[in-house]
Amino acid sequence: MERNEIFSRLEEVFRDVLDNDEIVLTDTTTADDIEEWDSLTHIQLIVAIEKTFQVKFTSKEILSWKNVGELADCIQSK
Amino acid sequence: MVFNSFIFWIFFAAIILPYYTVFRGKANWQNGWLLLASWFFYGYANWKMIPLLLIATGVFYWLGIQIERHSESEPKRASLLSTLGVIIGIGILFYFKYLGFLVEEFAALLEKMGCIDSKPALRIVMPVGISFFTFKLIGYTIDIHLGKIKAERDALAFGTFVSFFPTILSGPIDRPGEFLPQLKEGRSIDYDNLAEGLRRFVWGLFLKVCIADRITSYPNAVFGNVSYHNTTSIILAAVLYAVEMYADFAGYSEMAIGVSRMLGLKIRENFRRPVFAQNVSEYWRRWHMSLTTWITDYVFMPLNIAFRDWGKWGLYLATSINIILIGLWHGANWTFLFFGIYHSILLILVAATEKGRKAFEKKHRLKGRWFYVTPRRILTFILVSVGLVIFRAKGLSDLGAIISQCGKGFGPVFTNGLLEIGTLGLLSAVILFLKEWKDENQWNIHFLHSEHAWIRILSMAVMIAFIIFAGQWHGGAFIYFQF
Amino acid sequence: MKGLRFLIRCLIVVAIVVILDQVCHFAMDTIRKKALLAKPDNYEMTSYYGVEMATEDLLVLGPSTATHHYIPSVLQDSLHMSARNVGKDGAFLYCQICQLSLILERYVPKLVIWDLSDDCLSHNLDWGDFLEIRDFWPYPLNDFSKAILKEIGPAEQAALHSWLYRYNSKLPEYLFAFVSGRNSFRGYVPLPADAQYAAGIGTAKAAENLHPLKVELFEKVLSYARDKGCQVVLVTSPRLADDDVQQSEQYRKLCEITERLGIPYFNYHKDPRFFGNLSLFRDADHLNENGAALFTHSVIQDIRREI
Repeated sequence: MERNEIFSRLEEVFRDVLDNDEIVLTDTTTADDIEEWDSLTHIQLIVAIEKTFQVKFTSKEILSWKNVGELADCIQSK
Repeated sequence: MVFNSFIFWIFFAAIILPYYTVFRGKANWQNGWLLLASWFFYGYANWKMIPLLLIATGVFYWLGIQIERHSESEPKRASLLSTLGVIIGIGILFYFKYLGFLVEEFAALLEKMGCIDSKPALRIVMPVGISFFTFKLIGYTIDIHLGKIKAERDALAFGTFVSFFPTILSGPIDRPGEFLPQLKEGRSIDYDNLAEGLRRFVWGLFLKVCIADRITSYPNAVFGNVSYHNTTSIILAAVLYAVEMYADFAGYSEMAIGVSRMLGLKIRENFRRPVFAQNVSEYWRRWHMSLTTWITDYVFMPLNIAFRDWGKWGLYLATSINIILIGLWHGANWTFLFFGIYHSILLILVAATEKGRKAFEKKHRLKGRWFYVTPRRILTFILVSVGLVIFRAKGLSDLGAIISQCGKGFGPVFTNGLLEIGTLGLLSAVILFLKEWKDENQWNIHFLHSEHAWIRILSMAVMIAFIIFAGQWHGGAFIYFQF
Repeated sequence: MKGLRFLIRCLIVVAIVVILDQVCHFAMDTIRKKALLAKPDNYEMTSYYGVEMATEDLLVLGPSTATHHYIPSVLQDSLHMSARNVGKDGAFLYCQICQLSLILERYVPKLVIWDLSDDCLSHNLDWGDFLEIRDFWPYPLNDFSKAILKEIGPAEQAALHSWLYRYNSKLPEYLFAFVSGRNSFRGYVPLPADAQYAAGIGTAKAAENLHPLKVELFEKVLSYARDKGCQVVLVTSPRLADDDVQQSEQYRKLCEITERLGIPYFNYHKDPRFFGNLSLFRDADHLNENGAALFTHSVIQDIRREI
């Protein structure tokens, strides 16, 4: 899957789960940049992402992402 | 050595002088000096436990490097080593803290069932600070495994990170990723750091000596002898205990932060005005933050991730395990377990009603309105205070005694010691509350941090004079020392 | 230079604290004197009354056993001299030594009745003793308080250079005296006889070992009193404790000192008139007002006989 497509679908998921239509994602976006993104919504996001992209992440992968860029890399590698 | 004692001040003066003169700017020398000072400090508390500290430091230093070395080539081995590290850390903690209790409880059970005749006692001396430095070590291993930090090759820096004397006995629990980089550079004298460090130290001293130690005699008297007291006194003692607990622990943390700052090192904050929390969930984000964030990052998140397909029940389960572990971290006693269970019920309630509450707030535009916020804060304070009574109880029977005394009705309040507590203690608590209130609302009134030098100087002098005049200098050690 | 500016500011802070220190000394001294003048019979002021204001011929010293057992009006009527009870709850041997020495520096009472327990020379350091001794920190130190201070430790010695510390926790005490506080009958606080002590006689183990500093200062202050022409009489109050104190080293020492210095000592610990008579006691260590009346009369008779 193309990286651009990954990003646009991720944005959809984020906007839906976090209930905020203004969210824009870049490679370096982290939880600090988005108010609604905390440790609890993080899990909801992951569940939604796994569903949307039809993938399954390992705990280690999830815990090691530093920003959205690394998350996208992980999706791409699946 | 407690922070509010002459002997510590003399010790600290002896440390800081060479630190900023002979060793100024030389990172290795400064780190080595801090390491020696820290070992001395720890040995002063209990020299018999120094070998444990040294061995643990050595073992984890080696583990960290090994995990990193194998993480690219043999990830399975790295994983194994990381798990080993976690197990060793938990094992140390378990052995010193919980084994004795479990053995005794198990033996008591066998005795009740008639299987054995007498209860063997297993007395294991608990090293001070063990709950703090083992967590630092476990976190270190996990962070390397996840690639969040690089293994520390500098033994002096690593040793200092583990044994750092301001934080080894009662926290805050620092993260390697935040602390170790600061040790890389030599620290020269920074007068802003010295001034700020002194300010925080003096403020912490105020909290500890003028509030916590002043108030402590009342809850001690009431809870120490519960069967003589009625509900009125118990309620007053519970409220005072809640204030005491905060002032004691926040005071210690402020002093630890202040001392570190004077050494040019920034460490984690531990409290963010918990009295203003509007629900129990927010309370835990403001109370003992270095511990709760640690458990959130290393326990809660992994659990949440593991349970993510179970929807909200997964969340509730993870929350419960999380808070029960936080309760049990404080010690080996059924009361800490009950404390955890009590809070897990409250946290689940908060989580379950979150969506509804947010919608309600939005609809009626309640956010930040005083008539909405104040009752919530008061309710949270009451719930937290009840939890602290459970926390404080010496055991199940003690807890039972408290509950049964409450059932006997109100009556005249016990007044021993209330003169000094009600005047000096109350005055100090009011000063604390006003300061936190202005900070919470971000009002631009500052004394110790005023932009005018003369206000800062005057405030500092008045504060010091007040502490000498109104402090309780013959109070007890920090409550959190035994954890 | 930033360093110099920082240093100067620190020195200014210290200077302001020193000024506040002196202000505190002056202000607190004034407040205490005013409180004493306003409410001389106030229980909170009792330690200070003896040191600063007393002129009575007869003073009673001691811990709660003094406060609750000796009735000044009875002493006054029977012995025909003005009497005042300056005992204080929770203040033990060190406090009385300090108090007596300070009193004698100002005036010489004709008679001092000093209530103490028969194991008072023991090594058990009553923490309460060290708390109550702080009542005397606002006064100039003499040989006695200096010796006790040395015993407490270097930290306390250093801290006493500050008046703010010497007056620590005193403000509520002084202000409370103005507002209300417990009033006493010339220092005597009667314990009501309504509830009779039910538990009975307990057994107690005598306290350990002789305390050399207590012995030294005790002898010294008794000699001091004698040299000044003050007659001291020692009394041990009745107690409901069946113990072996009278076989202990500290008791023997106490008797030895009193004999050597020619000081009458009346030990009522197991006196048959009181021991076992539960109706006279409020609790194991204290007589109620009935017991106190009987006790004061007994002591008066002993005094008359001996002196």
